[in-house]
Amino acid sequence: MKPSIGIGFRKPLGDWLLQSSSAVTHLEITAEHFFGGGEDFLQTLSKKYDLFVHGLGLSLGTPGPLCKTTLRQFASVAQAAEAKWVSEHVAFSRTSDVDLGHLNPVPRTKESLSCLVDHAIEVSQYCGKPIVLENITSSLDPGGTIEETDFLNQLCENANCGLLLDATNLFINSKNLDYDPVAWLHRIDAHRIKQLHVVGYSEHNGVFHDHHSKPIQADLMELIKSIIDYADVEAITLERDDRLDETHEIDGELERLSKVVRKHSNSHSNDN
Amino acid sequence: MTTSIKKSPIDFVTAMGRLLSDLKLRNQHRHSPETLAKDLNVADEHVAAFVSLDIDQIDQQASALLNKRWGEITSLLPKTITELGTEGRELFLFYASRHWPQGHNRHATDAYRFLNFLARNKVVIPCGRELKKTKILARAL
Repeated sequence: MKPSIGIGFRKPLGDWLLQSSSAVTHLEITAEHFFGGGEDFLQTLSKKYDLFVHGLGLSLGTPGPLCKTTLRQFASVAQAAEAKWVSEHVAFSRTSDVDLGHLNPVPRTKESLSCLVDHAIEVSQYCGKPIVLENITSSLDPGGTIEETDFLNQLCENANCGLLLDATNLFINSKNLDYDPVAWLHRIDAHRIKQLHVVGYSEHNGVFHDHHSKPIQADLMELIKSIIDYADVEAITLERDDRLDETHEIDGELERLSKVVRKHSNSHSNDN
Repeated sequence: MTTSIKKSPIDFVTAMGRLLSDLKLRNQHRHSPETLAKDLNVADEHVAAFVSLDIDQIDQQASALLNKRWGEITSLLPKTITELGTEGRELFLFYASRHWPQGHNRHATDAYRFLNFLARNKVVIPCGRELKKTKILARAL
């Protein structure tokens, strides 16, 4: 199957997306951006694009019950968007004491795994949608007894869900922690990889970051090719948070991804 | 008669959250992680993992969390941040490491509270437009 190409929806892109006939075929909606309303707009978008709903604040890795208010709001957005699937991160962003506001890695233990599996199943059932879970990037290793790739495989297997493989996060982690991203990729169950995130990385003093602002670099594009050679990815989503007025550049990025997909999906078809 | 309230044991993620949000605790962990585990009443089964956390990595992650908040603030309060000049970031980090807003409006709440913090401490007179905008966005009314 040829992956669909899309972009993370941000409000400044609204007019462009409603008027353009670019390579975009899906949009990824950040659920929290619509907690305050906007259902009509989501329905307008859903007439033109397939929509996926992406969460930032469900904090699946926090032990104990999910925040019911957040879950209800998240499900409402998923319903209004008629989302094909929903997604969240393999992470925690809050605890019973504090809302840290951003993603933090969970320890790779059986206890964390069980917590994430239970929460992923609960979100999927509550929303009535399939869920895919995303790998994060972090300089913090909270430890654990399970290898990261085994952890992700077991998580997807036990929750019966897909993996949203953030190629940029994989690339960044491989640079900062000095490992081979393709070897890492080949330890992941290929049939679980359903969606990709990608955006160019940033680098400062030898440390790599995901600032969601740069065009995709050539070495990262090579990793994308390796991933779509390895797995039957259904969707590739460009994640841009910065310089959103540069729609010409964004169009160019989407076209580059489309070209890679055309070439490499053909090689998939030839294999079959 | 004195009564002591026994704190419930906390799990590993809660313990990490406390470290990530509190520089004093990180300094205590650096000095004596075992004592801190006891003070926080980290559950027995999580003490070993808590003690072996690399506190430099925790520091780095804590900085990353504050930097992300700073990034959000600068886009919500461009005028105020320009007015604060080179001191802006330091002032924000002072404020931010003591206040952790909650919920999906947290960035607007953060910006609104930061403006109030600046006003309370007579650092600047907050830009009326930014104050109004963030108050509405945060639904602070």
